[in-house]
Amino acid sequence: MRKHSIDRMIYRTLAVFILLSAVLVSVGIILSLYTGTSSQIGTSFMTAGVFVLFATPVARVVMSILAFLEEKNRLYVIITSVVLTNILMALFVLPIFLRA
Amino acid sequence: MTGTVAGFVGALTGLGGAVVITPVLSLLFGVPIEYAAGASLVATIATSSGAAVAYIKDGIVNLKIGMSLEIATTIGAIIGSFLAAAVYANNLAYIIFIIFGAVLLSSLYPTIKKGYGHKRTRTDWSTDVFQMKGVYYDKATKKRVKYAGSRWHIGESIMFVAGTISGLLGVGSGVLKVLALDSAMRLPIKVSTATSDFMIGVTAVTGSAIYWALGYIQPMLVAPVIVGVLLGAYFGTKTMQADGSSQLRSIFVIVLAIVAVEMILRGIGVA
Repeated sequence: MRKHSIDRMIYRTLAVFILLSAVLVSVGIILSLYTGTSSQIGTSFMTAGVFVLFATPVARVVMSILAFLEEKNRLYVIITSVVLTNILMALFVLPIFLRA
Repeated sequence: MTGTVAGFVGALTGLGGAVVITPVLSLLFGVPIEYAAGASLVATIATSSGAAVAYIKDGIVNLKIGMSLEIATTIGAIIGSFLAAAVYANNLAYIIFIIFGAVLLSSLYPTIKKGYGHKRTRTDWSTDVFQMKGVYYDKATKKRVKYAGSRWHIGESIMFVAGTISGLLGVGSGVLKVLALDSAMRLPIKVSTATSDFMIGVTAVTGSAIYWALGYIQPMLVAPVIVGVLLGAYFGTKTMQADGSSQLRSIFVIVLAIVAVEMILRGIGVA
C-alpha cells in the first residue's frame, strides 16, 4: 500500500536526522572535552547538531505535504503548506525584525 | 543525567520534558532562565522527534489532525516567543518563573486524571470537513480501535494557547495539547499522546527559531541535554507502550508539584 511506503519514508528520514544530530552533538562534546571548552571546533559540531535537529520537524512537514499530494488531498496540502510557511517565517523572515 | 531523566518523563507522560529541564538548569545550576528555556525548547524537539519515530512506526499518530492543529500552535509559538523577547529585554524574568510554576501546577491535574480509557466516539461537522476518522492497533488489548475526532474549533483554540505558552516559556505544552485532543476533540488517549508528541516538535522548532535569533540557545548548554533526551525518549516510549505505569506517574506528579511551587517562590523572590 502507498500510505505505508510514505510512512516508512518519514520514519526512516526522521531516524537518520536524529541519529546524525546525536552524532554531531556527541562529537562536539568529546572535542570540547579534549581541546577545552573555548575551542571553536567543538562548538561548531554542536551547532551543526542543533541545526540538524531543527531540520527534523521541518523535514517531517515537507514529507507530509508530499504524502498529501500523493493522496490528492487538496485541503491537507493547503493546511500543511500553511504550517510550513509559519515555520519558515520564524526561521528566516521574523529574525530580521528582531535584529532591527 | 538531567537530560536522560527529562526525556524519559517527557515521553512517558506526553509532557515534553522541558518541565524538568528548565527548573533543574535554572534552580539547581543557576543558569539564567532565558538560556534554560532555550535549552529545554531544543530538547523538546529532540523528545518529540525521538518519540515520533517510535509512534509513526506503530501507526498511532494521526497526521491530519496533528497538521490541521499545527496552524494554531505555530502562530501561537511565534507570538509567545516574541512575548518572551519583550519580557527578557525589560528585565522581567521573574514573570516567567511565576507563569512557569503556575502552568506546571495546572498541568498536573489532567496528568492525574489520565488513563480512564476512552469514551464513546462522537462526530460533528468538523469530523467530515477535516477528515478526522482513524483507526489504530492497540498493543495492550490486541484490538483495532476505530475512532473519530470532533469539536475541531475548540481543539484549534486550545492549541493556539498551547503554542503561545510553548514560545513564552520554552516548553512543549504537551499537557495542553493532550487535553485538546483527548478532552476537547474526544480522541483516544493513546492517539492523543502520540499526536501531541508528534506536534510538539513542529511547535518547538518555530519558537526555537526565534530563540536562536535572540541568542538564547547556547550550543554548549544544549548539546548534553540533546544526547540525554534522545536516550530517554527512546526508552520512555517503549515503557508507555508496554503498560500504563500509573505508579511511576504519581511519583512524577508529586515531584513536579514541588518543582512548580519552587519556581513560583523564586519568581516572587522568596526562594
